[in-house]
Amino acid sequence: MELQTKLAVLADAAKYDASCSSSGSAKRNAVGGGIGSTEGSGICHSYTPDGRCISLLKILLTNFCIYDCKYCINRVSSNIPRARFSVAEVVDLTLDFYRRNCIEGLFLSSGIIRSSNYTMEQLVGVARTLRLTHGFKGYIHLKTIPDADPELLAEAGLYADRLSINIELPTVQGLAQLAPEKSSATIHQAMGQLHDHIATSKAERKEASKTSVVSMPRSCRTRPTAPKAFAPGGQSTQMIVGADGADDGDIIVTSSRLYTGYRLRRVYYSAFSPIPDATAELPLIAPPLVREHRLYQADWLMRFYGFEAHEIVPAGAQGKRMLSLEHDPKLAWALAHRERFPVDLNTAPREMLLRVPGLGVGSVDKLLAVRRFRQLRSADIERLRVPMSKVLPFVECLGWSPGRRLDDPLLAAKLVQPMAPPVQASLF
Amino acid sequence: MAAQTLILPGDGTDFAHWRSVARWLWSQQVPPEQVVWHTEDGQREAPDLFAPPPGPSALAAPASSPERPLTVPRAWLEQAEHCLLHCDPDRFALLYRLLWRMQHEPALRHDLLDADHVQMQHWIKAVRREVHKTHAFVRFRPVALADDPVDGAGPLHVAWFEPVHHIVHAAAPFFVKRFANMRWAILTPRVSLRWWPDAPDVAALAAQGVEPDFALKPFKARPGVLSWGPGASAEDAPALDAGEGLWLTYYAHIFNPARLKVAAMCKEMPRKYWHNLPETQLISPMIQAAQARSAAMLANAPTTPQRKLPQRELPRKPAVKD
Repeated sequence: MELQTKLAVLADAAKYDASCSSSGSAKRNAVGGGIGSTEGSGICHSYTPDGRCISLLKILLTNFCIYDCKYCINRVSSNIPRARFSVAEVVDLTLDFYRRNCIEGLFLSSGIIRSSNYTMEQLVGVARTLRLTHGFKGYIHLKTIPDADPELLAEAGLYADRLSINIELPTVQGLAQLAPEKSSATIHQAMGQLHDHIATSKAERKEASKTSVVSMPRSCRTRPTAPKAFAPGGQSTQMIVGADGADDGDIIVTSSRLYTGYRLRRVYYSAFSPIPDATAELPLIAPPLVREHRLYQADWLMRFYGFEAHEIVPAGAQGKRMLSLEHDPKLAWALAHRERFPVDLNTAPREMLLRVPGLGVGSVDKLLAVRRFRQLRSADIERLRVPMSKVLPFVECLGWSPGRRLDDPLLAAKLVQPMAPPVQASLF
Repeated sequence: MAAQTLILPGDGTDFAHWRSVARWLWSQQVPPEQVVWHTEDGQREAPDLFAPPPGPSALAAPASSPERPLTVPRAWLEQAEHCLLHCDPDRFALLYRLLWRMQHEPALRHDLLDADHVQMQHWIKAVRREVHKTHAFVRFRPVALADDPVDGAGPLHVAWFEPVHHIVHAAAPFFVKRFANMRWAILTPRVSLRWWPDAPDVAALAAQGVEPDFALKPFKARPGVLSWGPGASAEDAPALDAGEGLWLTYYAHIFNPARLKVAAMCKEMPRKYWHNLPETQLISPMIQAAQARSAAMLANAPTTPQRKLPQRELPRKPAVKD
């Protein structure tokens, strides 16, 4: 099969993976040799009309798979065309795109061929060749096979910046129903192993940077060589949203557990997407993109704004805990807790400023810096360049008070963004 | 004091020069509203008839000692240097006005929400963003040269890029570090950069026509010289090649037609960069076909597997309790 055709098939197969991040790893560059660099933050080299960025060459090594996960286009029972890259082909493609400055590195995943170990060996082989043979300093993200040999997992961490294992579905029941060969226990166990490796490596490196060695006279080495970093970009995972009956509460609580339990860097949410040649067991629906968006916003609130999972998704109708589709989660929280507002910009603590709809971490930090020296006035809110209609009803400062806006029963309706009405698709 | 009309050399982005001018203006106590700022480049494009001819300006006059020394936070200087790279012709005036005001209103340096500060931050952000977008959207194409070395440095990689602001030099260190062993050149309308990975020092490039004043050896321990020269045109860069064809294939296939979000794409990849990105020619057909492609996915009845599936023993699962 021609390389171009393989690339088409294996990029097609990889486009349902939501992760594209290439940030948060150790800084490296090619000054000492090799090729490539990683900065603190990743670079998006292009964008496709689905609004997602291209940062990494995201491909599957092969889309042959012995598993039969219902939501997956590559499941054994699907009739899509199949292809397989050789290790050398992936290495060459990565280096060529990299030299053209089209990508930050490689995100390599694979269908399970022959066995988990065999597949994992191939994935590690690509990373090893890039790092050791070509001195590649760019970003490598490897999708890890949960039930592969722990030694392979350990080797993967030496070459990869980030490792990920997809949790796939927020509940054990969902996984049992839709991914019969995958086991929740195995996935969690592998995540735990990665977490231990990452934590140990971090601790060892910290220790090494503190201790000095007794060195020979005139030796310039005063510190022991730091042990090699293990997946310095941490681990991430992906959850498919809308393929099973789990509600937003299930999803957020699961994420929250993953963040605290395994110190995951990111949980990605992937709205279940209609795929060609779908299985009869999944009704085809338009993807609930707004729901996915709200989940990312909620995730953000937990990671950067001090919200707890249970605050973001209170129990709703029929016991379903769903995020509002009309309002972003912070606005929805504020509308439900109007007694906590208005917040006085001149006196409120940081935690409370962070709860004001429309104020981001950057804006809050600016307000705090300025108010140490002078009183904040209404003109200052404008200069923050924040969405005024969202912020004004919830704050007060010199020259501005929301008056009785907060009591307005129509406030929630007035704050709905004018856009195509979002539709929550019902699956079951 | 009479109004001062100043003409800054070139594009006006020489920070050391702007700083000395500002110092001189302060020493003469020229208030900001009485200074008219021009650049040589700007004068060439749209001359101000009342501006003095470029050349040694009034700065040559001996500066009388200032009333008060000009003081400014070190961090502000770094920011001002960045701000100067913006293309807005009012940036010189804004910076001098802030400088002036900071001497008279000591609290101003802490006031991130002062209108002038906000404007300055806005311009700095635009400059940073374009440096970032340059890192992202500069695309190299390999050109085989007759003198291609056999030492592994490979062909010369050439890129054509059209920034809005004066950010080429600010963006260069990224490429030097990332592609330290690769021979590359970045051509833009105002300036061209070239990286010589094996040149031991600046002098070694004299035979290649590189002027010593327009070259820099960025690293102590390794060879490599960054040189810069006059601007170029799009025709000087190589055309699309087969390798880039592979990139277009990848671009077309990593797109999920069921998730059209055109506004999100345009926000992060502004149209002004599109004409130099080969994949953007695919966008319009991709959008047009997307609706039909996802409709077809929804309309097609689920299929039954054509291949004979391997009979595999499924792991026994405990009954799931709700």
